[in-house]
Amino acid sequence: MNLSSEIKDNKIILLITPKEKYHKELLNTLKVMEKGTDKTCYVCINEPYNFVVDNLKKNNIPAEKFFFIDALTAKVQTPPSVDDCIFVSAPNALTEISLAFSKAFDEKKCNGLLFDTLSTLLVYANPHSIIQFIHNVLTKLRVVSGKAVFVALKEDVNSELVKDLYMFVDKVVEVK
Amino acid sequence: MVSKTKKEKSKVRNEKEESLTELNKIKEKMKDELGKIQDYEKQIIEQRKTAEQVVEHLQEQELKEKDEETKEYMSTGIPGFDELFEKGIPKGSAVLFAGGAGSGKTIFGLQTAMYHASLGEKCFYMSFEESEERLIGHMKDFGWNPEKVMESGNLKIKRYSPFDITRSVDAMLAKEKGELFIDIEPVILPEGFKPDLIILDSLTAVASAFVGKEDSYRIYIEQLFRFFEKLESTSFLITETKQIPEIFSTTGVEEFLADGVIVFYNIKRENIRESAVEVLKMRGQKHQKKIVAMQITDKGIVVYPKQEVFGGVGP
Repeated sequence: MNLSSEIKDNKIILLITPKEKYHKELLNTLKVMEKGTDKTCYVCINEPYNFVVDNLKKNNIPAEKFFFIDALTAKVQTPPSVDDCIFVSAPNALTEISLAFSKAFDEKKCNGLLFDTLSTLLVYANPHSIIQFIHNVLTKLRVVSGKAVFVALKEDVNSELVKDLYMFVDKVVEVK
Repeated sequence: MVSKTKKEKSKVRNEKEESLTELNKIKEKMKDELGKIQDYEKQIIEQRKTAEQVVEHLQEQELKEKDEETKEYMSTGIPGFDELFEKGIPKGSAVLFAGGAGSGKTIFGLQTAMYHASLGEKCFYMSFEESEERLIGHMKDFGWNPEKVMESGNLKIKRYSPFDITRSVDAMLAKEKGELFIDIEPVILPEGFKPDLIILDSLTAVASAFVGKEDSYRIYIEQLFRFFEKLESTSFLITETKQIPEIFSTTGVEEFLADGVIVFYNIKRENIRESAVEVLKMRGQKHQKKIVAMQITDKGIVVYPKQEVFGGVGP
């Protein structure tokens, strides 16, 4: 599987990875998105903004190629005021995330999306609302011909959400 | 000779019979023709009726268009909100703002008042709940400058006690019964101040002064709506409801009398709350029929007319 060529050929990808390979695959995806888009909107549902930025720096990936939506930090502290991130109140604040996503694409000129991860989102919100939300985000993406990678853990393949996403995306990439 | 006479007689009879038959034929033919004429007449009447209806409809349409042309609309100045309407809120309308605690009704009212006052219009905020100082404090928290528009005389904020209202109600009831001949107004406005926009916060507080006198409250509300109509001011009347309301006012009379109803939602999702807004009704104006996202930011309210709310508004 070559994610780089898959992203070139397909606009919207569902990346399914076993949890033990998650970090390696995420790093790989970040590199591919950094090269394959002008700017990627990174939706942080799994790890907070500062942790992600540190991780990018450690791996020599330019953080300025990303705009962040952090749904975690505001749950534990008052978020800092930064230009490259919108802090939303919680992972289940789906309307807030959707509004932040619109801002990232309309004002911050993003043309790619990395959603990390659908599996964590399932912990916070009900599958029906998440499907509505993802479908809305996908519609916005398709209108602007954006590229996207939605990350999900293999352990959630049988969930209602992931099953439905098979229908919405252009390609499902499963990491063995 | 006799036989000739008989023959002649028979001939005459035959001729008579023939003439009679001919006459009957002509009669039948005339009947047919008359029937046809009556049918044509009916058709003509019908057609004329349709033509009259068309003319009437065109005249009505023309009047309506003229009315539309002269009708004025106001914008609220709330980013995104006015996009929910084709043109805006018709000026002179009485609009209910219904919603639960913390849903943004008061801020919406203050923000609209600030916007119109800074455009040079006269705005009057009638508070039956919070003090003038507290309301000014809220406005300052959003970085607005209420003092400037208050000094210019465009914005007035006045606190009323709901019980002040009940004192004048008995007199109003007497007037209704014809026992009193002087005019009693349902609220006293500052002298010489004719507001373009009135915000009444809230009808729920006014209703609290009428406990056990629901009939008096209904009469008062009707008088209040008539009073605002007479003033030709646009009025926003705040009512406190449940967080997810099914009834939008204290008695239901208010929503019937109002020209418009705007519903504010404060939706609970597990440990967080999301704000949303909906134009439920607006007489004389096309509007979007959906619940859309709203945020109370540190600069005021922003409405997102294209952003749906995920997970519905129900509990």
